[in-house]
Amino acid sequence: MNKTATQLIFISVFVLPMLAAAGGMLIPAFGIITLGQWQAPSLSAWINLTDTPGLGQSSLLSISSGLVATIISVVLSQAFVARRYSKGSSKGFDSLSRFLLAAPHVSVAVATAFLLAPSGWLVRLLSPWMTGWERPADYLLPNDPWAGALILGIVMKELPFMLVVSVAAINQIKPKPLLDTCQSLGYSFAQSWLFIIVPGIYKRIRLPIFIVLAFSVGAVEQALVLGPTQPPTFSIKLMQWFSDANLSSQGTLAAGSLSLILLTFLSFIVWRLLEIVITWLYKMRVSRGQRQLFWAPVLWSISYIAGLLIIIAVVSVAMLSVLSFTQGWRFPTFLPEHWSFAVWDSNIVLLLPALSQTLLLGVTAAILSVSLALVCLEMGQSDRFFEVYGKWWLFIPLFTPQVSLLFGLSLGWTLMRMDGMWLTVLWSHLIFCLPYAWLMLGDSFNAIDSRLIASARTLGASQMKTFFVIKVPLLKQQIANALALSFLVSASLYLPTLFAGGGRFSTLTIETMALAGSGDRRVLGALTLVQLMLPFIALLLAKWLPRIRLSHLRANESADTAGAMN
Amino acid sequence: MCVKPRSFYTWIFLVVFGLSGLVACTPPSKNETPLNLSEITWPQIEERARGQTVYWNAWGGDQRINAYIRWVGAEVKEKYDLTLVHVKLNDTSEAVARILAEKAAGRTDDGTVDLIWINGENFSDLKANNMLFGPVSGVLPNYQWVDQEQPAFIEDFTIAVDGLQVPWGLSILVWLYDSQSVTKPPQSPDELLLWASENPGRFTYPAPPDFVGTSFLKQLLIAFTEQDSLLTLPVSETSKHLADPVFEFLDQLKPLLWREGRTLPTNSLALKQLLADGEVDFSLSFNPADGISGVLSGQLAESVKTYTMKTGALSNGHFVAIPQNASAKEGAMVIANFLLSPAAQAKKADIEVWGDMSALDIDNLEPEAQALFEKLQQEKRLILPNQFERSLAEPHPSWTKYLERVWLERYAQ
Repeated sequence: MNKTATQLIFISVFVLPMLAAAGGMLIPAFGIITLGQWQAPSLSAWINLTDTPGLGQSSLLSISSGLVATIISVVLSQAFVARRYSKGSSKGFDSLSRFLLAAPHVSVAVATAFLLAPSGWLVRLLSPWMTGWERPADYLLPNDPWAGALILGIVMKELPFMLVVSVAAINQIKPKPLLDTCQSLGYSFAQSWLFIIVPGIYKRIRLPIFIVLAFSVGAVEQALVLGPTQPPTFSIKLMQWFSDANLSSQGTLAAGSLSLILLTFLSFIVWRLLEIVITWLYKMRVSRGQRQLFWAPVLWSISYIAGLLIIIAVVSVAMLSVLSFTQGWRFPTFLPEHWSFAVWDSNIVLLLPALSQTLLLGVTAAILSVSLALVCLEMGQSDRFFEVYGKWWLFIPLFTPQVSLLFGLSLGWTLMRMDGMWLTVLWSHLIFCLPYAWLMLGDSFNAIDSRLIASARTLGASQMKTFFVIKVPLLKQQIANALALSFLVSASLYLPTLFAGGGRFSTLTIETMALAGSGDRRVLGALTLVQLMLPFIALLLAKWLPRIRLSHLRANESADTAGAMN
Repeated sequence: MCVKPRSFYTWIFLVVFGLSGLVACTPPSKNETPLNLSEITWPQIEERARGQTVYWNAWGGDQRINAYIRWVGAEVKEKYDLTLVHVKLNDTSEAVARILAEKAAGRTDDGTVDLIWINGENFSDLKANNMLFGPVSGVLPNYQWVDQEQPAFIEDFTIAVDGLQVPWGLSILVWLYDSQSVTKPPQSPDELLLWASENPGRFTYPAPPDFVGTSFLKQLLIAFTEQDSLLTLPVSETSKHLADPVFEFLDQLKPLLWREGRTLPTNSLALKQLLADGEVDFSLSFNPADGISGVLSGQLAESVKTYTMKTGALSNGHFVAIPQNASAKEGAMVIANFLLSPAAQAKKADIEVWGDMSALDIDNLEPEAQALFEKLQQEKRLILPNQFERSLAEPHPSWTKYLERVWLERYAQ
């Protein structure tokens, strides 16, 4: 009964939406339902789609910018962690990258735009004394047609992520003995690291890399602010079609959503080919056994670039926040001429409701997704359903472009009259928070010493009691981290909140996106600053939560034992 | 514990399924009797509106307009016990697409949009699909103050309004320019081209299909055709050549644009930010108070001035409408009526608030209502339609779509 119940919950929260999304894309894409009428399948939607001008270029842009951004993030992160390891841990950079990791995509994108623009602060720093520009120069950044700004924006957000997962991988590898052996054979540190440690790290960060790749190909927030406009990337093109009132394009939209998924798969295939080529090159190099000295300067200079990028990203985000306290800041002055609280004054009525909605959704989604993940993991130990199928379903939302997934879902929501409801928004958030909670908890949950559990059970404790008295206290810190992560994921969700809420629920991210790329940059700065406070709240919670004593649970438990599940 | 659950899992099961049950079973039965406008009096409508939540879908890109809508929300809460939620759109067509998708899904009542800020081709789309509730204008008591002679309120983009949308204000497409760099602002498209060739990279326009960007194209179309009467009719095979000079002009202009036209600002607010940053010397706006308020708030330099070209400025009305499947029609009507009250219109016309031109015929108002506008005028906080000499009427909405399509084919690849 209980197993079935958990399975049902998992299916209803997670599996059903995925199936609904697939149906919501496939059925209109092949013309089976047009304008509410059942019809024979047709390919007219696909023909319409291929007739769209600029489609090939949009597809190419999505794939190439996604691949390039992922390659850059991986290369930079590997060089950086090598340097970090050789120098001993670097607390400063660790917290900077964690700060960037927690900053919302939109904020980083807007900050990058303000950094790069001809009237941005990078040019202001150098003008007019060095560049001689009294007026902003006319160069094409951001929104350049080669997607350079978009790639930089994605890298600034994904590099910290790659750093964090790589550091975790290094801790698992324990590279010291390997490096010692290698170096005693006469290889330099850089070469040893590159040939021996990097393959080990890579094996462990492959999954996150594919998540980054899928995200970069389907990126919406960054592409809206930084991406090329004529034509835009494929995901932005899809977004533009959504707001097209022309109903006959419903099928075209569905076909477009499926195409974006295909593009993502295509990029996976390209990545796999790259892997094969690079492995072959690696083997060639390693088997020659040459001791080469040029690796060190290469590796170190790349690591400097990575460090510089992180610093620039953090400073840009900080500068954007500073903007909210300015009044009048004209080119080319580097610092604002007048300071004022006017922007805060006039926007506090906008900020407070958005902040409270963000907190409400985030906290609820975090608690529900962590509880659900724990329950499913617990069931997974005795049930192949969760062990085998659970994981695969979970990764679907991470590997599918958000635009596609939500298009499929929104059709079902409209039919069920569920769009525009708070609970639907919460549901949509759970779909994206649960996988992260699961990932965060999975390894440590399964790593709990099984002898502890066996002892508890032989002493007569029920499965439930074992769960609460042994497992939960052991996992306190991981649970708190998972809560913080789920909260941050929820706070940063743009498309799910927009689609499921029908635009009715304004979170900080929704407000920021409404103003991004237009509007008063000072208001964007204010929104960014408030959004940056969220990670601090989350991190505080993560520190404070594990200190709560679980003793009252223990007291209650002993009374419950008899009637509990078998 | 008083209730002893079978187990922890049963609890979770109950909670999650309880929640999904709640979602599925939320009753759509809010209106006991359908609303029949011919049989109901205004006080009855106000009575039925009490306690309703009205989702007003309105473009949300301008903080000053958003602040005005928040003020409306506070007023109707106090006066009529109505909750107003501003659903901020990036583009009005998003809401039109949603309404039409609901129609396609058979959702003929209990829709998600109660009130929509609308005009032009979006109105035309909804009207053609019979998705507008009404005619409502005549039912609203404050409609009597509206300037009934105003051509923009009788026909919107040449489409008969028929009381299906309620006038809210008047717009005129004005230019903002930095008088420090532009001493003699161009007075016609040809002069603009000349200026751009002397100052390459200092001019740009919002990318169509943004409505200001498309309006720039329409203004060119009207100027080049000298208001050909064919523009009031749908685009046809015989009339579409009228748009050719527009694209010849844009072809010539493109290399002279900011960043050589390889990218364009996404909308008029992004363009205003470029003017504020000094990257360009011109901006376009449908709000004649935009320049003045930008200077006042410190966003724009004090040298920024506002003008219209001698060849005329595109002008149109903007409206609010209630979709056929709206959930809170009564509440939406009460809000539409409130928006037409002299107090709300005077506040909207205040340059320091929004500066949108009033939909009312000020000379016909009661003395105390007139006094509100007179006070604004004395303090130089009011812009009147007759301040701009040649206002040009909108062409048929099909021209909007035609210009956008050709523009996208030519420049968005």
